[in-house]
Amino acid sequence: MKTSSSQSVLFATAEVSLPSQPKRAKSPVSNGVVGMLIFMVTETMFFAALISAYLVIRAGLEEWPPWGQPRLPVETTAFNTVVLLASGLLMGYSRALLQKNNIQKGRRWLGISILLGAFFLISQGYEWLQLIKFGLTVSSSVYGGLFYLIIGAHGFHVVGTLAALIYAWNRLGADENPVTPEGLFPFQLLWYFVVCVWPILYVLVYLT
Amino acid sequence: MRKKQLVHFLLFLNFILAPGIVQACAVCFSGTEETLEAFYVTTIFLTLLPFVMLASIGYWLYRQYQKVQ
Repeated sequence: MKTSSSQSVLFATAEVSLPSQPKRAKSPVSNGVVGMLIFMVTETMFFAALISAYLVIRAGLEEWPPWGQPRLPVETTAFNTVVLLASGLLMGYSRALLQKNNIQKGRRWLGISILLGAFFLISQGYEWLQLIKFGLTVSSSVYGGLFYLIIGAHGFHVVGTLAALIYAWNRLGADENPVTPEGLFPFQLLWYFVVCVWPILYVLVYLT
Repeated sequence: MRKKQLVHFLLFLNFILAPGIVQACAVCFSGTEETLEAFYVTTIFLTLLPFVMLASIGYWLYRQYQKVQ
């Protein structure tokens, strides 16, 4: 391909000017991580507001749970809590493997972590169906309303984070446009957040 | 003009002399000691939480940049 004289001048200028540009130091924290941390602050405030509303409404009522409302399945949810915590631990393990560039093994453990998260979600969904059958609905009482609002908000976050993690798992180590371990880290942070919030909600809503 | 002022004055009197209407406040459903305590605790919690979180993140970022330099 022939190049005109003006194009040659442009190429030459580019070649000369590039090395003179100051090198930008690599940031120790990626923009994705900073963005996710800011997002997590807003999410924490969202859950803190829900918890506060729950505590204030609960303090104003003499009997909790209100009379005639079904009791929540404490044991099944305790098992689900353990499953979710295990999922968080495995996510940490997969992160350690991915950092050592052990992509295949890290991807496998990430997949197991996602499966545990999916199990938690399905089990919670089944629990909800049982509770609805027993008469605990959003409109049955303020107890039901708060339960579905708080636990539902968490479930919604689990769904969203799992969807992002499944996408990342699929693209991890792909031939074209692969997700790198660094690119995956913000989603892993979000999963840690979802895992860490759950025990607080479990103790507040199910145990106290 | 006078009529309008009179209506405003009557409305003002209504809000002062009819506290039952004023009780439509969304958070005045219970006047118990427990509710009051819950309000105090959650107000302090929601006020301090953003400061604690942002300070923690800021300190963590500062430490990360310090490690590199």
